[in-house]
Amino acid sequence: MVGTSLKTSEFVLSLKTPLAVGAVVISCAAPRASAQDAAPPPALLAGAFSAAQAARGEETFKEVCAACHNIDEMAGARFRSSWADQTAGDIFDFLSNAMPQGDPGSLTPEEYRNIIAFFLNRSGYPAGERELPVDKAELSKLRIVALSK
Amino acid sequence: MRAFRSGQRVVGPPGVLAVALFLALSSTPSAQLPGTANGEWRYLGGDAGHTRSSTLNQINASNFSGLKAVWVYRGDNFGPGVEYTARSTPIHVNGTLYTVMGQRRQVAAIDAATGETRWTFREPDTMRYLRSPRTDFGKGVAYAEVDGRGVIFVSTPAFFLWALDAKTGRPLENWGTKPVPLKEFPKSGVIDMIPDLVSDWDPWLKWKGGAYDPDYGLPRQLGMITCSSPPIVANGVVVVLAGHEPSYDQTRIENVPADIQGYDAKTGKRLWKFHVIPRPGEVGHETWENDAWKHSGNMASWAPASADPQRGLVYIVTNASTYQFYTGHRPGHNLFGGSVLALDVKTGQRKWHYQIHHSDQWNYDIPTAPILMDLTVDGKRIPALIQNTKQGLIFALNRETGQPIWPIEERPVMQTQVPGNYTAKTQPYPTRPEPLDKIVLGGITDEYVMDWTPELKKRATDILSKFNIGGLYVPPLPYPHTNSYVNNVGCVGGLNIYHPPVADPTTGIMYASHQRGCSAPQYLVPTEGKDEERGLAGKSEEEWRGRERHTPTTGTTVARFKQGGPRTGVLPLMDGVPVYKPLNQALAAYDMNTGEKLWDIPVGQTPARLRNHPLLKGVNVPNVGGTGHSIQMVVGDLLVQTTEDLRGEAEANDKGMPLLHARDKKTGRILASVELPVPGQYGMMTFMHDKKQYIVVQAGSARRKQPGALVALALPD
Ligand code: HEC
Repeated sequence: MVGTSLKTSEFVLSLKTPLAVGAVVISCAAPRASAQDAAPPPALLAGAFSAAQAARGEETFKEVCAACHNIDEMAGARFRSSWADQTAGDIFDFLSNAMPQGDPGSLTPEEYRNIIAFFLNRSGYPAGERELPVDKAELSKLRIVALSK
Repeated sequence: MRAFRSGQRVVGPPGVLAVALFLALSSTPSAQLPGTANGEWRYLGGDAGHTRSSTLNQINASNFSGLKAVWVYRGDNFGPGVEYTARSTPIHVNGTLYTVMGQRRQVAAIDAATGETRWTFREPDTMRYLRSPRTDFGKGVAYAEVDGRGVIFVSTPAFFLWALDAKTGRPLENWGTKPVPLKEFPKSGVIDMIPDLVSDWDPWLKWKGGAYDPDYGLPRQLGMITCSSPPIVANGVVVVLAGHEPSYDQTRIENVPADIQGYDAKTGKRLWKFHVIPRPGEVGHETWENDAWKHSGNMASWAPASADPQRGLVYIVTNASTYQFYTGHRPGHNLFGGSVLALDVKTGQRKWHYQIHHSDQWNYDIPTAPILMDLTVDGKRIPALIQNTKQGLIFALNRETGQPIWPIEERPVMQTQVPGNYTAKTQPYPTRPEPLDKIVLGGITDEYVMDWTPELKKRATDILSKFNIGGLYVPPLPYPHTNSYVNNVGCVGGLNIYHPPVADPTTGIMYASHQRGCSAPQYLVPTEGKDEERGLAGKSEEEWRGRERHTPTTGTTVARFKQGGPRTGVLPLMDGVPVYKPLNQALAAYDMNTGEKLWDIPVGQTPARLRNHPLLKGVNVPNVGGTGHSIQMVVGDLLVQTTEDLRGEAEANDKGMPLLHARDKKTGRILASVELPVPGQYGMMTFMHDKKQYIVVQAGSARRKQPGALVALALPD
């Protein structure tokens, strides 16, 4: 049999990184040409989105995305691992080019941004005073860092 | 008007052709299977052949616009939270509708004329219910008469089978062979189907982790089983379909096979079990190389089934095994996955099978019930089965023999580049009828590149030159990879469970709504033995309550690859404009006697976002349909049709109200329309009660904050 056997005692998925909310969240990075580039050293940047923005994102998510997705299934650990080392701009690109499936690009840039704020909020990244920037280049400077150490 | 010989290819206005064919065919004998006589709607799909059609004609083109909503039955009180979907098509028997409602999948008996609740039924709580990945997702109930008494059969998320008295909702007395040893369960009327499922399954027989716990269900290391679609009853046998956590949400390779089981409707005795993953000596066993049958599971039958009582056959469609996107641990065609199965209802013996796609790893699981009706092909009467797919390919088979009505070819398809993965060399392509959308045959070829302006065409061509273009069966690439292109791009052009195809047995015409979608699959990355992390990792199972699709992966062995890598490989839009010509929603009609597509018309309107796009200034943007999926049924001479807004936007009038249309079933033309209070979704049904015809639309809208509901319409007295 191929694959890697795990002992059943390890069955519960363990987060490599305990959910230390407030530790570190989104870091500033120079815009990268591609995802393969080496990641520049992260600078801390807590509170890159506001709670109100996340709440607006939640509304849109419920109306447009929830027919196919459960938020608990995409936020949280899954979000932290699948978007680690990519930027908020990458999420924006993916969502605005591919989602909602069947009608991609149908939300306004503002709505996509709000949904990213909602994902961040639900994944343990703390809200602050600012909103995620409107400018795509600015968005691409926000690198998602696995909540860690 | 000139009548065309059927089978002849005619170019001309689709309406004229359709009318002509219709006239030519209307002399053939009716071929509807039982279920809709006397104004009833006894099966989920109306008749046993799941055509979703009725010959009732009190409601017709001349009075359609006078329809009024006579009652609305809301689902939001049937569960701990508000559910915006209404997945279940009710059945109608003698003045009562029966269905499952809301998040909890409770059973409801509803007065057909007034919408009053007659009774409801709620299964006692169990841990296995809480653990079920499909606590909701109920698609209906089954009905049969046993010794003159009406009985409602329901299979639940916790994998119990209940037999309820249709009059009272009470579990039947003296039904079932063994009481369920749980405090709140009645002594009779319910069966725990898990012991029956695993009684001959090696991993369970060798299990050292303790005795069976009927409250908890199967240990997670072994598998997870649930139900999604209702059972189907034919010739006194309740055939139970089984579901799973979708195999794309798993990362480990072991699971329990979703074997199909038959129970005696009268006694509850288990009569047979069909191995969906064939054991040694059984047909199809050799399609599991490396002894993968030993650990593989899933292969669920989550879509509804149909039946031909006269032939004593049930027809069931299946999906893929675990894990969905990487199959290196289960090389081979993997029968009976991605197949139509014809089983003898009395014995569970396989009469025939037809594999629609080999070794599914594209989430192409077959989403809708086989449609059964009789056709006249080249002058010969043929008992037919028509299978629609997500791909948009349409398979027409003789339902007696499983033989294709027109040749089906195996054609070479793109091969996987993921180390150790398996893809079948070829896949079946029907030569007739043509697919719902021909883009699936070759993908975004020149003909389909966005060319509404020269600038857009140039941009689209530039973008596409960075991708490797295919149609169907386009595999994900590993990441990183060394190809000169960014990613593969494939297209589907079919349908899904939430807009089922319908058919008119009086004419042999099949109607299916479809949507074009081209995309680049997400990359696969090595797992190195680590599961994909999920939202509730580490939380107790109780905390999963009400969170469907939250069962952690079953099994013990992590597949070698999972989806991952950067999301930079998507097929981009051009400032919101697709690189291919979009086709949001269209409704096609096929004369299945000849295999000819009669017409294919856009449903709804091109969204304003595209119509008024700055890059399309001055362009006469064609109607590519609205984004709401089209839902329909055949009623007399009409095709009653609406659009949903859960996965798109419903077509609405200038007051913003969703519309229910009466279309001419010959041409698809809208003859009359009426407002709906709530957008429709998933399906609809019609029935006659006390000389009055009703149309019941499954409804609900997250966008409009309108919970899942049933809306009944009728003409004023
Ligand atoms: C019609 C169903 C549908 C709708 C509606 C939909 N999605 Fe998706 N989504 C999918 C499918 C299928 C995939 C997996 C295919 C892929 O990865 O490209 C997916 C993948 C994703 C992913 C990546 C996978 C993951 O778990 O991280 C994200 C993020 C996502 N969707 C977000 C959204 C958002 C935000 C919306 C609403 C704006 C939305 N989706 C609406 C079907 C849908």
